[in-house]
Amino acid sequence: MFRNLYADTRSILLNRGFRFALAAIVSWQLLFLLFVWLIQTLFFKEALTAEDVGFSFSSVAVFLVTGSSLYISGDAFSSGCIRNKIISGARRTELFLSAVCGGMFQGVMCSMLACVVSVMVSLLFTGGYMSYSIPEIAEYWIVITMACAAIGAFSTALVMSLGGNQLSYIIGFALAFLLNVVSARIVDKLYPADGLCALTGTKLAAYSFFDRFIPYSYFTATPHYGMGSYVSGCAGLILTSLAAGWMVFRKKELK
Amino acid sequence: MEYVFKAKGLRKSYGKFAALTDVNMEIPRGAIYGFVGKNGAGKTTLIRLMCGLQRPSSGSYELMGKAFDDKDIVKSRRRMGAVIEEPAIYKGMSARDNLIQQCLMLGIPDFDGVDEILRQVGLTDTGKKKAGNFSQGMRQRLGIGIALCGSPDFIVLDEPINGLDPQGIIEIRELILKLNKEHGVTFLISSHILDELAKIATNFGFIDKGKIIRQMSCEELKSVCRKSIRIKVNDVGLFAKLMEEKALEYRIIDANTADVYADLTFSDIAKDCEKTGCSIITMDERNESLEAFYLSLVGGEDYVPKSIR
Repeated sequence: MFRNLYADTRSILLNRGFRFALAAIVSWQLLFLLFVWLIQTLFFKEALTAEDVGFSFSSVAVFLVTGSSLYISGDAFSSGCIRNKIISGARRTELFLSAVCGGMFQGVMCSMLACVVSVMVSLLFTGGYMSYSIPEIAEYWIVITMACAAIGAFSTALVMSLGGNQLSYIIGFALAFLLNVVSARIVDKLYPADGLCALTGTKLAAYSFFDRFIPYSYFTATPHYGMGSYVSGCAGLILTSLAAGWMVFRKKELK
Repeated sequence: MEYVFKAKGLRKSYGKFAALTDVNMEIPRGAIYGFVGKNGAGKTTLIRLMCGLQRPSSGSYELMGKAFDDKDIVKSRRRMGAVIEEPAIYKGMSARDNLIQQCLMLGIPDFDGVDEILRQVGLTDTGKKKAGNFSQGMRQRLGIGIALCGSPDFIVLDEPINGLDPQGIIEIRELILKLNKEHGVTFLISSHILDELAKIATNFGFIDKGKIIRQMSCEELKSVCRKSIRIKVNDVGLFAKLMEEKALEYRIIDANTADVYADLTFSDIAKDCEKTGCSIITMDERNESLEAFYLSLVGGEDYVPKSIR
């Protein structure tokens, strides 16, 4: 198990898709900073605060982490490396667990890099955080990191279950897009800009459940539940991905 | 005799289509087993079962003494390497990194053997070039290099010389022979290039329509097949008549060419031909035994010499 994990970690670090995702994270945050700084300076004549630029990763995180994990595991499948591991005596369970851990690892790495860049950008180019304390910012990044790990695990399990075919890319991105849109709508309904929430009964319960326990929704707003809810949500998605993916993968006929 | 692979009544179906039916096959330890069959005959399916990529619908097999449903079969698999269809390589890594990756996966603590493998497969001078930029032949060599990591006892190569240039074919052939002779590595080689297979294989297995139709050693094959003399004449009809009169085995290739399966002296046959009004244009000795034998087995009837029908 550990040698698989070690080998997978190395292959992720050397993977083009992963490196592209890291480069995209840095570029996105810097471009976002430049864009916001230009708007603030030219139109509003206001100083930049860290809130304006510090959370920009959230808007692209779902797609970058999904894309990166789909590419890494899809590439391993299409290049025959998953097949080669089985031929070389790796147990399917170990192989699957290692791949999912790899997916989580790359999600965590993406989030951690985003956190570092965000802190640097905030310290160097803004006047600092005005309405958030350090523990709140730390909590935000912990939740985002856990959500990235969960999405990485889910996307990897999806590729492994579908045998690395093109459908896994379509389903992975379609789900990411759909859940992102649904999350935005739910946040809008639960926390309307004007007035109070008008939802009641089952709809309120369903929307609250989604907002509380589905990691895809954690990117739409700063943490507003206890850490336990976020841990449960991420652990739930990871465990569900592991269980469902493993049940399919262990019986999967590979070519 | 000790076998690295033994299949008994192996069957594999995809829905209603039976890709393999009642396959019985044995690969002796130390052999270079030439696995011959048409496209779609079931070669790759059998290799996939052997490598644990798919499970048989019924029947069983043993790999290095471990049954396919034994949990410890993974230990046997660690002693084998394979290149099935496309070589399994990380395209974003160099040749050296690919080999190190395989060593890590196999749990080999040091990478001392990596440079030797690179030398064996002729990829020492690729440096940091990414495997994704390799030619088909270089990828094939790298795939074989990966299969060699961990000094396996059994190597499965599916069409190993695909995309290789003549020099590469010779090098891979010599590498296979060297590993087999010096290290006792057993090979299963599936190939369409029968002449090439005939140069190295010690055993043959012929598969058609999902069934192993014949297994034999190289010696047995040699005893069934003979050399032929290919003669180009101006009238193959007259030549056939002459062969019938002299009760010699032959086959017609085209309107001017025939193969004769007998020891002939040029002067004698030339005299006989002259008498019947048939002129010899060219005459040369050929050895297409494996090809002819294969065709006789899989039903290429029109192209089969009488001697082995």
